Amino acid sequence: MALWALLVLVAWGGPADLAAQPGRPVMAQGTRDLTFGVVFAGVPKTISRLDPVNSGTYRIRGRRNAEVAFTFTLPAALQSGAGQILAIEFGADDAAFSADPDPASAVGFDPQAPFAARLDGNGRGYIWLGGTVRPTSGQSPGQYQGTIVLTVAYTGN
Amino acid sequence: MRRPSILRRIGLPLIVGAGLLFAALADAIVVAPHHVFLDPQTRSGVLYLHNAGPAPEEASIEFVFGYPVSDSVGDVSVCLMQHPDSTEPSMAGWLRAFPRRTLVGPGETRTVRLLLQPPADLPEGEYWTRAVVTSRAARVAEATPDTGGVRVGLTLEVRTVIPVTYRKGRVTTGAVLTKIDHALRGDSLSVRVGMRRLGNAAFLGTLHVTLEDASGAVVARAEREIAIYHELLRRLTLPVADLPAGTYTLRVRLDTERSDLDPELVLEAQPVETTEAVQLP
Repeated sequence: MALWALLVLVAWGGPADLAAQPGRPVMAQGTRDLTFGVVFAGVPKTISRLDPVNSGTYRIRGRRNAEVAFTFTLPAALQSGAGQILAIEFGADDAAFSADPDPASAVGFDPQAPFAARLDGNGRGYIWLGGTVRPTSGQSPGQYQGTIVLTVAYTGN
Repeated sequence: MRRPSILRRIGLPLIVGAGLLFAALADAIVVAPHHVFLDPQTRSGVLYLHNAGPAPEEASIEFVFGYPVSDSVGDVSVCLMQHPDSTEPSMAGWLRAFPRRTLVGPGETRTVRLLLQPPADLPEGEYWTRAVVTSRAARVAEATPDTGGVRVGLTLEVRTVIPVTYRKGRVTTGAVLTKIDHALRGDSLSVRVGMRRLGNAAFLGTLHVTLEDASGAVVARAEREIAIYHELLRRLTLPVADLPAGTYTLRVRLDTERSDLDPELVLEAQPVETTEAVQLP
């Protein structure tokens, strides 16, 4: 049995048959907000995926050297409680993946298309995400909300 | 809402506070195992949901038919089909999760039981679906201070896709190599391998690609775990920048070795292997 599976059993105190599959599960975790800060009505604002403070980041954990398929489900607009709309866009280079935590070494990809990448020898990977909000000149005040979904799956099963 | 009107009156731009919230350290549900094989006798299985994060997580489970597919260049994605062709061995409609939704506290593990209720006259064979586990941070509504601006928040959700397999009666698998081509791309040799499954069950195995010199020594290698549900095209790259010019042997091997799966659950098949000559400049 893989050492990782043993550690999981100890850490989780999980049932013994959890060990039936020796492979390490894949896990994605959002680790930093994608933050636009203050924007002005009528003035689009872009956050680069390379932005060291405001880009969104995910940490991926899984099997060593395993290939993982990623698919984002992205909103085209955000909605306020009053039904107002705020446009948001994601460009073809707004996401990036790297097995290294340094975004400078990351490979860009289009978050609107499926993407697959290999985790490193320790089963680690990182994703960065930027985007653009486009408030209109008459953008109404309010609290705008939406959902970003990241779907992860091993490609070898 | 006096402040916006004041801002407009004095000519300042409307302030839109746009903080897209990726809840820090949220959405940390671990789903195990990474491939569920239903017990053929009880037609049941188990998923474990573990919350590795510091906040409660809501998790829901649904079943969608799907499997890995490849595009023309050999990149792979997991295709989910809400309405698969009737010829596909989908069991998505017969599988139930108990519970379908659950709240997992920090550090807690929840057990989800899977129960298959197939038609009585189900033919022998292997049946597939994907368990899609959606997790999101359990949030408490907060009163929004009246700042007069606009606050923007995006809820982050993570969906973890796990294959679920059920085998009834006699099942067999195998694979054939349908295409091999290679091309130099910069300092790498790009190798594309086309594969087609045989039998009535998915081929879960490993694709090995090696480059051997004239003495038979392996000078470059790559391998990839693969799952062939129907057909698959994979692209692997071998580093060749440091290799002297000459003729090499490209060896492609497909077998059912898998270190991540219980050997008792991996259907064995005869390895498939072929070689061809490669000229490096």
